Amino acid sequence: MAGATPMAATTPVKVYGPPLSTAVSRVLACLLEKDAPFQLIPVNMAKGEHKSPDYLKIQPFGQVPAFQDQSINLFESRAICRYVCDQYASQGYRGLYGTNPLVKASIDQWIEAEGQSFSPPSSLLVFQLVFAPRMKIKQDENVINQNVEKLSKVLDVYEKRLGESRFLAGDEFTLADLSHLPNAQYLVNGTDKGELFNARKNVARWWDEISTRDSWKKVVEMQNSPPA
Amino acid sequence: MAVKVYGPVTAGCPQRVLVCLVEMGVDFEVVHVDLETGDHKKPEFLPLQPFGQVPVVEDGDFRLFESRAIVRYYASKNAEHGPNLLGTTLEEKALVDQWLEVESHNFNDMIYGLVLQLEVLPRMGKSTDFKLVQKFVDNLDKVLDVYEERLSKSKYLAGDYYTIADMCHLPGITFLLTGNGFGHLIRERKSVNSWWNDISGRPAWKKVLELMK
Repeated sequence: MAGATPMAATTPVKVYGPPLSTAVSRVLACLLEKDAPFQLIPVNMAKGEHKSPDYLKIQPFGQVPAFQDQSINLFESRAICRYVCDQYASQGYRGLYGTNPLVKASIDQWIEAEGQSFSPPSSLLVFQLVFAPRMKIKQDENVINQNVEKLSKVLDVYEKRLGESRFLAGDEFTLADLSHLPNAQYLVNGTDKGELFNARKNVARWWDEISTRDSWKKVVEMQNSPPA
Repeated sequence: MAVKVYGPVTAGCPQRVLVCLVEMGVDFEVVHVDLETGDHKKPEFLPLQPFGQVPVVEDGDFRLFESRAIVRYYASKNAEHGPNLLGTTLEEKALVDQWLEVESHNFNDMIYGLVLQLEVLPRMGKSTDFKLVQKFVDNLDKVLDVYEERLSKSKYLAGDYYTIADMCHLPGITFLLTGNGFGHLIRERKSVNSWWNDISGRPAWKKVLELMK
């Protein structure tokens, strides 16, 4: 099959899942950066809709988000983001996934660092501090303390890196920085652990730059709006 | 000039890189890092890999860490010297990415948990939490049910061809099959088992296993 022609920005893609979900919001941020029109389709997780037979057809692990456009049905937020960057390469913010192999490698390295080192402790903290109370689940102080410690060590590495480089993968904002927005947003603005970011000079500077991008502000607005 | 791969050949993450380099015909040299004596956490190592982890590669002046980023890079860079492990169209590439993310999160998180509980903690003189072990195994069971369904319809995870999405599972599944009592998770699933026999039978993986001797 010959390489598909990247599509024009006319037909909205479909994203399934609530904007409050960190993984869903990662995809929304990317679509907004690329000026790609989308339709957000609600999935009622409180009622277990993500485990329903119909939903499992589009995401067999029963997780959000799922994504559909005219050519493909995809899941896993970071895979969806990479696809969106390639599919809409010529529009929106151009440098999101790099313009040459060396830059792309650096972006991939930091997307992996986000997924393997930043995400595990930060996701656990977001669950314990933000979602558990909403779901009336008892918080586990041990888990909170252990993961504050783990995340602190990770952010020490980021502090050093961001003293050498404006953004994680280099001098431009990329998918590597974007991947961090969802969990960091909750921690900085929804918990008493914002210090983890704000007390580190370079991390604080970086957080301020990436979180005030128009695309991210729109995502936060979507998270704060009542469902349609 | 040969690419330097820092890490012990016996550890899963370096193995992920080594098998890719062998598949893609990249000359490499392994620089041993002793995890037991904590070489990877020493001040001399941190400039190479600031999280104090293996592997990291050095290719002339170019340095890269995170095994899956390294795999993506060489699968693309050496595309003329090896099989196409990434897909061709945007859609094929996206499916490869999707299943690589599944390996990275749904699958590997459980493997990592099991390795920590059953190998790392005992080596540090700490005790295994068997309730956690059971939780990881139960989660793996559910994940592998999805794999069984997928592989009953598709020869490899991303489609008709072997890709980095399949490749990145090699070390983790090897762990499951090596004397921990979890082999049934693979062997009792017909499509998963046949996929495993196929991907682990590739010469590149056999060569990596030779390196461990």
